[in-house]
Amino acid sequence: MTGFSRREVVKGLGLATGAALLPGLGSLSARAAETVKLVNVEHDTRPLDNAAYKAVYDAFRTKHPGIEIEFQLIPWEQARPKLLTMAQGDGLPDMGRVAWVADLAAANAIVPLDGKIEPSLLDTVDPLLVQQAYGVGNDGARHLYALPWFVGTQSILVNKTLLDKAGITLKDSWTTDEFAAAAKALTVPGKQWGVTLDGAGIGDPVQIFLSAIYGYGGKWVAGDPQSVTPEPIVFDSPETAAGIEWYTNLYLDGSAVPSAPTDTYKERDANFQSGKAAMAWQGPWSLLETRENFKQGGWELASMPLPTGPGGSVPPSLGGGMAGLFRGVLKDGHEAEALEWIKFLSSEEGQRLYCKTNGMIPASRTLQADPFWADDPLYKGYIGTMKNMRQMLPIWATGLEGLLDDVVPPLMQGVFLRQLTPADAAKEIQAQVIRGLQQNGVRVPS
Amino acid sequence: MSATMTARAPARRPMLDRRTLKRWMAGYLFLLPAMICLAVVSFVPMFQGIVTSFENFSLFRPGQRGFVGLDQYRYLAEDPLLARTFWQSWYFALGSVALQAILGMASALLLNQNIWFRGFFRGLVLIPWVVPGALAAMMFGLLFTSTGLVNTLLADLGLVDLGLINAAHPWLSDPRTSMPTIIMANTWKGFPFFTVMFLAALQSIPKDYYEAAMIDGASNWQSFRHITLPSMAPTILITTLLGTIWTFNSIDLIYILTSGGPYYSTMTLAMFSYNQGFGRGNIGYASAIGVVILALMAIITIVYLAAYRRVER
Repeated sequence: MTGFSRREVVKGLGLATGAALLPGLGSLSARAAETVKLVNVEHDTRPLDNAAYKAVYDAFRTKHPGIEIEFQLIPWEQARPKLLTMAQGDGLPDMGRVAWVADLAAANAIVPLDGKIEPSLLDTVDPLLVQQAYGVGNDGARHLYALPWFVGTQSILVNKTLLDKAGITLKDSWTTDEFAAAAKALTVPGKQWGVTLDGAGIGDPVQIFLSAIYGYGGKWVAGDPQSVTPEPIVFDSPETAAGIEWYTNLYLDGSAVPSAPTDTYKERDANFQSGKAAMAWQGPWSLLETRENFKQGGWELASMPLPTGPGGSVPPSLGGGMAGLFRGVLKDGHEAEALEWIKFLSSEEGQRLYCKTNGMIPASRTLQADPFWADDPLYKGYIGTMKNMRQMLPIWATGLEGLLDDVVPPLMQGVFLRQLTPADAAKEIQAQVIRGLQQNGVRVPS
Repeated sequence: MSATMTARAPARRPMLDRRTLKRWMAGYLFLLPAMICLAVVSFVPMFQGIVTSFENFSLFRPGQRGFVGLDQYRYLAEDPLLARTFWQSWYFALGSVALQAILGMASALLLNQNIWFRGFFRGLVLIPWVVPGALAAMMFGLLFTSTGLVNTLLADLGLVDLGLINAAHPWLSDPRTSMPTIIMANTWKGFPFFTVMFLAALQSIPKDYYEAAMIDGASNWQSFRHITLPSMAPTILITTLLGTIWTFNSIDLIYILTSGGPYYSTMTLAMFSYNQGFGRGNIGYASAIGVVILALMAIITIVYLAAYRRVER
């Protein structure tokens, strides 16, 4: 009788297992070959954002099982410089949030979308918001670079409990003088302040400051901000100085939290949510969380529109969520798949899933009419201010947003501290911006 | 006799005989990995930075780096912020290092005594050093805000009633107190390094010196002045040199607490360079500021090392 040795048995079993697994391995590798992996970059870190992205991604995966997305996060303060340096090092991701269209387009970091998307995708979006998605490319021409999926409009958030205590009623419209008077009435020296302002950091301090200036009739350029060729900068004007004076007087009158000159949006939010300040001028970035925190503090949260100045309604900033393709996608050769993702994110389905989860306001006007937003008094102030939207920064001004983040806060602080007059600040901001633009290769006509 | 009396001139050994050469080679071979690492992470970027300072390199004009000679330095010399940031950098660095050295020396002297739980206290004093800079900055930001703990404590001490301080004084938003507040935060964060270095130096001083001084009737102050300080001088010099360089180049506390404000009152050269490079995308200009910092630190190092040699002798 011939038996098998233990070694022969093990060898045989090994071969049999290998033979059984081989077809499986083949199909696995085939599946891996079918799956396209993409990297999406985001820079907002609000608690509900992850859940919002997950809701959209889950729905996207059911439609596109072959596209896998890795979500990466660059903190807000670092996102702009990081993306610009990534562009220099050719290490950009595939797609994601494009918050500085003009700057990223000039740095050749994003891919034009002209002719790659169906124009009907933008039909329901406010044309002014769509304009924000345009930039001037390296070729000197104007291109569409992104698809809006939520709006970062602004409003005055108020602690209604504190307003009631001070006998101030909510209004559908009010003037800048009424706003200043309310801020003063809501101030209890050393304990509570009428309004919280942020004089440091990036983004918000400049946007709010500029909104106030535009409400007084100040502006950057006299012509069309969508022009691709540089136009004279007319920021240094009596209207601008009047806007700066009104805004900084909120602090000088003692109606704003004393740490305003060095407070960033984080401290501004904390001042408002802790009851230290009764009003905050801000975007809809964390409304659901703020409402929850207010509930815990025993206060009621409400919103009012931005006030109207002598130069007309104070326009809100046009920031928000814009999805675009980064140049990294061209290296991978998966432009079509990346396009599918940004199209889905900015579709009505994507917007609804994202915005209902984290409380943002969708870019689509059809969705804004949904009772979730239209019937909620908190969103009324925000949606109401959108009719006053105006494009403030000209798209030819390469690097202007970063430049303003560096130039404006210190000079605004100079006025807060009475070391500069509003007129001097307007003059100095204009001079520094023109010099900075020249360093960026933009010659501003005089 | 004469033959024995005449000393033969010793045969001159060659400067580098084979054995010495071999020993040297072995030494350099061991040093090589460290030198390569240093070159890759330090010298190459430094050299690149110097080259970039002569270029017109903007993040917004990819592929358009052109040689502009000394233009960036000329712009820098004309920039009104240069002088301001230069003096504020020294204020920040020297203020922080002086306080860190005083606090470090005091705590090292205390921890060198035979006290109960000495090991525990030695560990405790290291806590600020291991706390990440960003976390320390956020903590001090909360402490020194207008309704923060510091103002509450000062009010409890009656300083507000005496009119010495405003009840809601914004320490970081007032240009008179912003830099001192940052120096205070930096002192808290950095003094443990001085403590550890000084403690090690204190422990290496022979006890006999103090015993002899005591027999001779020296007071504690005289012992400190004539034994402790001279024995620790090399350590003090090296520690303060390192502290000065680190502080001069650091931006974490300033970036988080004030971003250089209010109205440039806490803007240092390092912060100025960061803003130019990453805020405005003007890498060439930022590199020129970096080269100025490098030159300043090189001068300081040379002066310190000369002083160190003198002290050691």
